[in-house]
Amino acid sequence: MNRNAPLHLTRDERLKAVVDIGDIDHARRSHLATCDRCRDDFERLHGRLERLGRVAATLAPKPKAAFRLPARQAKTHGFFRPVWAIGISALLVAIVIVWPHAFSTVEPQPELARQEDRQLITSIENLVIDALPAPYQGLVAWTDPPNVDVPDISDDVRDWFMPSPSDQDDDEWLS
Amino acid sequence: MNNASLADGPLTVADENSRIAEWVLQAQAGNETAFHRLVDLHQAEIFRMIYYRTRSHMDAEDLTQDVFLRAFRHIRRLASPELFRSWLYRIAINRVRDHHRQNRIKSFIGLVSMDDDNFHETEEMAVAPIASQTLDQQDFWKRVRQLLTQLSRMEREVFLLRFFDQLSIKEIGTAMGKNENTVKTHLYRALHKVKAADDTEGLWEGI
Ligand SMILES: [Zn+2]
Repeated sequence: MNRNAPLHLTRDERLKAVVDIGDIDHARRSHLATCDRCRDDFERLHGRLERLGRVAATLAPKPKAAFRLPARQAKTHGFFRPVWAIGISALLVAIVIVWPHAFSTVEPQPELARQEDRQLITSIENLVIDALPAPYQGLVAWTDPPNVDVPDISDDVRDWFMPSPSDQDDDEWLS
Repeated sequence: MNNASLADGPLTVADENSRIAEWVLQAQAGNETAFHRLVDLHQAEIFRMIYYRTRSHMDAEDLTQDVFLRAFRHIRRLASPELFRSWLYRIAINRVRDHHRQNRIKSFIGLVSMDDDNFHETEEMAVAPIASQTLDQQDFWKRVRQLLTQLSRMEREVFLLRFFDQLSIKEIGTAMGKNENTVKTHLYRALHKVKAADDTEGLWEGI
């Protein structure tokens, strides 16, 4: 074997270059720029992937109708105007809060309530001490910050049973 | 096409981006015309994106409508107008995921049949090939499907976003809420599998 023969890019390096050419080191990039064989291999692979996308776009159907926002609902007038709706909602909330206190005949049991509170706090503390390992917590907490990835398996498992985040969560991190 | 672009000649990428950002700001202020301009610019690609993942024209129509309706409803919350395209894809990815999940549930209770968890074969593609499709087209979609079924969900998503939807690595990261290195890792793994499938089964022959 000729020891002076140039070392052509390996298959892995070619794939890495297709993903992002900046990810292969400078010397290998220079080789790619000057070696016909490596450049041909790289461009063939890159070209086929681009063609795949282009052919798909050509063969995919087109939407039948342009999207248009639905006509706004006619403004509500009279009794159901928003200001009334807000007022009535506030009144209902106040009634719900006040009602049990105003009409309750059951005497409060402060000592029993305090005991229940203490039990609840103890069980919460136990849960915190005995928390799930981080990857499993990731399963429960859907709204990951943008740069924290949970393992692939979590994505698949999570995808099985949890709905997508709400649109509000979607763009929370874009703020 | 927009009248301004006809009058001023072809737009550079920077011009195009600032024009989109401007429309986003106007849409955030309640301007429906500006929002419809954004729709006109992106509807075809979002429709295609959904079609690649559902292979059903009808589902793609419905889900595309849903994506834009949600986008309009929440556009005020988008703090970075220049990320509009990635944000739109993020909504679309989530809607497609929900669509597949609903189908899995229906499949579980026996309402529809499904042969794959994530890339299911709809009646439209399995039983009755689309009338207007030639045999070559049917063969193309069949081979694409064969390619995609070799990949995990994440690999499939980044592969589609990169080579079918033509998003940059940065845009994919934004759309998926993943960092760029994670996107590259999945893409690299996907390419390995796609290349291997090509070497052994010649799935790309003629493409
Ligand atoms: Zn070489």
